[in-house]
Amino acid sequence: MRKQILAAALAVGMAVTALAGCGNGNTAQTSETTAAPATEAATTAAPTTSAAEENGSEAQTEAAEETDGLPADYFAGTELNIYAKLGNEVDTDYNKKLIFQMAEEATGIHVNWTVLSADAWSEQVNLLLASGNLPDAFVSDVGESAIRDNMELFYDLSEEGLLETYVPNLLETIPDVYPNGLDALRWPDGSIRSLPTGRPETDYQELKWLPMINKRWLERVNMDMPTTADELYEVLCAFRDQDANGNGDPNDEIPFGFAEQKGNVDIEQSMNYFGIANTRDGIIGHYKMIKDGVVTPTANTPEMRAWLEYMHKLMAEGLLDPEGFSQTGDEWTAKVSQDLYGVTYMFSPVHQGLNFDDWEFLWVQGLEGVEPVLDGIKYYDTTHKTEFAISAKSENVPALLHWYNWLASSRELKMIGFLGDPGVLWDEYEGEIYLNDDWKKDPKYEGETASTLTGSLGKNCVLLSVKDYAYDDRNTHIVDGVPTVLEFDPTDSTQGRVKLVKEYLPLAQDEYILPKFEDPDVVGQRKFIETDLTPMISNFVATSIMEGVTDESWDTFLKNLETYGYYDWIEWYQNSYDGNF
Amino acid sequence: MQSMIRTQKPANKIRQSWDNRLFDALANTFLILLTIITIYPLWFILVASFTDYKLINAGTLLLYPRGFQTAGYELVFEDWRVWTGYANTLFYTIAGTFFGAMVTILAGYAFSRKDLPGSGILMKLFIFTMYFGGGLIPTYIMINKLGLLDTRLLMILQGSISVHNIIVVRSFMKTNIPDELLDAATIDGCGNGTFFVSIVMPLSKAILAVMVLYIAVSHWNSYFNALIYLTDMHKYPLQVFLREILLKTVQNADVVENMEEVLEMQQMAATIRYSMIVVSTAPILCAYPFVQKYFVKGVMIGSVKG
Amino acid sequence: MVKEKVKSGGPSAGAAARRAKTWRLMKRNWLLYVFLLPAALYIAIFHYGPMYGLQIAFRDYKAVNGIWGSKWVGLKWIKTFMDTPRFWMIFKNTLGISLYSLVSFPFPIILAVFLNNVRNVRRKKFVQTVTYMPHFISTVVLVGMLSMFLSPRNGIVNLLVGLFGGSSDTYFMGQADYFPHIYVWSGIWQGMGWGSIIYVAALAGVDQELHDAAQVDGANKLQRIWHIDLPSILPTIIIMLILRLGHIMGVGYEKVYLMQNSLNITSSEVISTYVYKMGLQDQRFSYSAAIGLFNNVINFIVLIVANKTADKVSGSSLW
Repeated sequence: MRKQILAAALAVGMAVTALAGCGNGNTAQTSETTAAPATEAATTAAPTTSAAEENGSEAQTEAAEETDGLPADYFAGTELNIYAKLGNEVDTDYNKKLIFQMAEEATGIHVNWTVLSADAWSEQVNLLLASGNLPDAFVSDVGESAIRDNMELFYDLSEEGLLETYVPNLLETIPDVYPNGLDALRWPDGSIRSLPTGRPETDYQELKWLPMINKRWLERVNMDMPTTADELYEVLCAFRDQDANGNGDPNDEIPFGFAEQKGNVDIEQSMNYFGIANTRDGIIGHYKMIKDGVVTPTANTPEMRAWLEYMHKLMAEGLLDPEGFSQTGDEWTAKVSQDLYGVTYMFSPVHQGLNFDDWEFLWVQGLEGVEPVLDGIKYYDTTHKTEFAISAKSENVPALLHWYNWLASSRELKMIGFLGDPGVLWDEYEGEIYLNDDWKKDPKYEGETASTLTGSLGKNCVLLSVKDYAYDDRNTHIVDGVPTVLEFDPTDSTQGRVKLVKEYLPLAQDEYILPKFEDPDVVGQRKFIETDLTPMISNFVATSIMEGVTDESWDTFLKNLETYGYYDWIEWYQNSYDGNF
Repeated sequence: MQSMIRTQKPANKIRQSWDNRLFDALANTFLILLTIITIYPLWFILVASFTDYKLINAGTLLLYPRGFQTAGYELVFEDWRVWTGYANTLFYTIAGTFFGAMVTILAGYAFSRKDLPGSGILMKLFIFTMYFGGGLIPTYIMINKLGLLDTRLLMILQGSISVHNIIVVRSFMKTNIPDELLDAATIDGCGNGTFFVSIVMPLSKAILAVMVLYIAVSHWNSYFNALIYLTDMHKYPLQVFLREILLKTVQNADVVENMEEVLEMQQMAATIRYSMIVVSTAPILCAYPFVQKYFVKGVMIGSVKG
Repeated sequence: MVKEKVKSGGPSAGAAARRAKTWRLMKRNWLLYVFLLPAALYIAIFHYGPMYGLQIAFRDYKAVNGIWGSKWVGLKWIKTFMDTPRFWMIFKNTLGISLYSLVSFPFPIILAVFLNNVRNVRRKKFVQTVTYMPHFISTVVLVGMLSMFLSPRNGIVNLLVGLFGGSSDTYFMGQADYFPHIYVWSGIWQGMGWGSIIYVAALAGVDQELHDAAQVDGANKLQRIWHIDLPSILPTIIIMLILRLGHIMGVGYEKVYLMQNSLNITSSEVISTYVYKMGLQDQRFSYSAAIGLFNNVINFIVLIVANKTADKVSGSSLW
């Protein structure tokens, strides 16, 4: 009997799955049909746009006289489909953001946003490109490689007069941001496939994480600030031998800490003391530097060997964290927070619950006659050059550009896009723009942080320049409604960081490769060398630090550099520097 | 069944000889050791989910939560999306498992029959797909053509059926359903349908339980398909949201203004990581005992005889 | 069906009769085809539908040209891969770790057999549940725990080794030699309980009467396991082994990638991590597809050989 019941249950079950399947299919279809009118609307709106496109040439001539060319509502009624990557917000309805509401009101252009998870963003973009289901535009980093490999799928904006007509506001900002102007956006074939967003950094981001020494420890072991590698060695020995952190246990101190797995706390930055500064171009900036316009190899130099020998000495004598190569970022953080490190790399000590009073920038000379140079450069591109990209198939190119331009039509608008509603994170006072601290006292924003607020209120779609905000020194904030110069607070990470960077920026390497895009095949060549070359070098570096360098191992290494294409790689960068690609 | 085991126990105990006792001692030592080395890391995760992130990674032995806090859980649960995610995952898992287990058992049984012309070739065609496939792009294009992009149906279908599982079922049925049974049933005038329902299914409870477990767990843990094929966040399963929360703490370095916040969030990620495991696995762990009872020795044979 | 004929290997005289028999079987078992239909449809749609994408491996895929329109480059990608200076190291590492990973195969079986012998139902369920839980630990957390437990400073493993008189500051994560051991044994730890489920289920099918009879004959537990339990689950074991061997080149990328560092890279760079670094980050679809294909061709060949061998030796096989 039970068997029959089971059989019946199974049969019913199967029927139910089948039905459930159908049911779902239907709901899915209806949801798609609700989505469909939007695209239809977009296509029906197309005639208006193509009309506009025809007018485009007329508009161009007009634009020559007028800065803004077209009336704000010139493309009213157009619908745009735009894909974006989810930021810090929880709400994916971007039309609720003030900046986009204002834009719609002023321009009459409606945007249908599709907001995708950041996790799969680049895969999604590639699949969209592959399947041809392209929206009008992407407003989130499409990525250099996605554009490079699919150039023809993106609209070429270098067309005569196009940018001049529709995005004069952008053109005005560009020279303030890129030293090479519009060329920063150009591909080797002269085309422009995307527009930039974001803003340049002038005072905060240029330098990497900085070498810092624990001042309290120095005081406890009663030693002066070291200025040479030998003095540093003495200090580290004292840290090791004495109870430098004063917790009663003389054995738990780790004089010099690093964490390879946490890219910023890389031991290779200490090459700086030996006169080797790594360039800062993309992910892999190591093992080369630019001197007087020449891209110079560093991995094969006597300085490199001297550095390895010094580091090995530190490791062999228990002065370097032996776990440095394998520990996770979390383990490193735990050690810093528990005051186990005397020297390490930091963005700012505040994040580890420490403060700027206790830590000091550590700068020593490794070799006599060799001037130390700091990693990082005086110009560092923090804008996003591939963030606003238009599909080549889009019929709404002028409307998109017009919309983008409108977002940048005033400082206020740029700020609303960048930081959200006025009066929350920023505010205007007598024509100047300042960061606002008053929101912290507002019970409405309890539990929020500056980053969640920016995430939920703003969505920066335009390019800002330094001129757009007057809080460059970051020390004047609006407090109780009035701009106030803040006193230095060692527990304020931003202030401390700005102070540090201002002080030590002159030590940094000051030559750099101009920001630009490169030919796909050429980049491929480099990539193939790099995938084998860099692990080989970093393995040699790590092994040498652990086990020491011998003449034999050094010679093998020099030979390996050749077989792994190190010199071709250097040459590649020289060509890039010279603008040969 | 229980009674059978119980009645046997005392009888066995009396008859225990030294070699059996030695065997028991060895087996028990193995199991106890295994339990210890497994339970500590699990305990560690639970404790770590309540511990101040700065103390988790300090390396010292964690036996109980120190710097007790629930920040990890708060961060996970204050996000409304987690609840949506739970509901979606539950739906995808139940529906997907039901569908997948059904199809797998049916196909597995059909493949286990020696008297089915063509099944050999079909099996080879199935196995071929375990190794060769078109990759993401053509799959995406295909799903797009079928109109399954961004649908819940796809979430149920995809990943429900795996050739691996079908093979396991097939081999299980081959050994556990003797040919003689089929012959006898055929002589009795019993058709394939009746045979499947009244003989095969009762004999296959254990493998059905295994399949339910395998498919349910794979649905529960899956996120990649959702990431790729869904665009509407209201359809996202739990795992995607959890990854999103974790990722949120790592990304967004582009809002340079808030570098400090980003760094703080990164450290918070350490705590979330552990509470995430607890949050996302607790429900599926609760399901295990229900499946487990079908593994009790003798269930199958007993039901056949009975 | 052609295959069926060959298998039965009948002379041409019997061909017509055989065809008639096949037809009869098909008619009689029509319901079984219906059973197969959903799975076959699924495989056809989701696997064979996109199968044409295999050719990406032989083309220089560009989205703008589509799969069919991208430039045909033949074996260029495989050649490029084999020309990289580290090819042999990577290949050797992959194969080495894979072969070593086979050590893990018997553990779930041993666990299942032992569990099967536990008479106390509650204790049995407890051990089973505990050992199955590590399967749910995410790789990031697993690797984080490994790093912590294996720390030369105060890791619990070093403490224990020290307690038993060994050196207590071994840098496990920082030595290339240790990498395969850590990788494989942590894998065993994580997968043993989960892997045992299928064997536990198979053991549930063993006829209790056989055990009772053997007991009467005076067989001890070990003998009964050897002569009753193992032979009963042997087909399952063999199928699992064949499937396992069919993944000989399949060292997954995530765990290896997370465990990698500059010190152990010489033994931890495997094909999947290499592909990840080379391809995914830069969307080199063709290149990664080609290397994936290279892997799977090897896997598939191993599977066929393993299957054939198993068929000859034990009579159990996939087809």
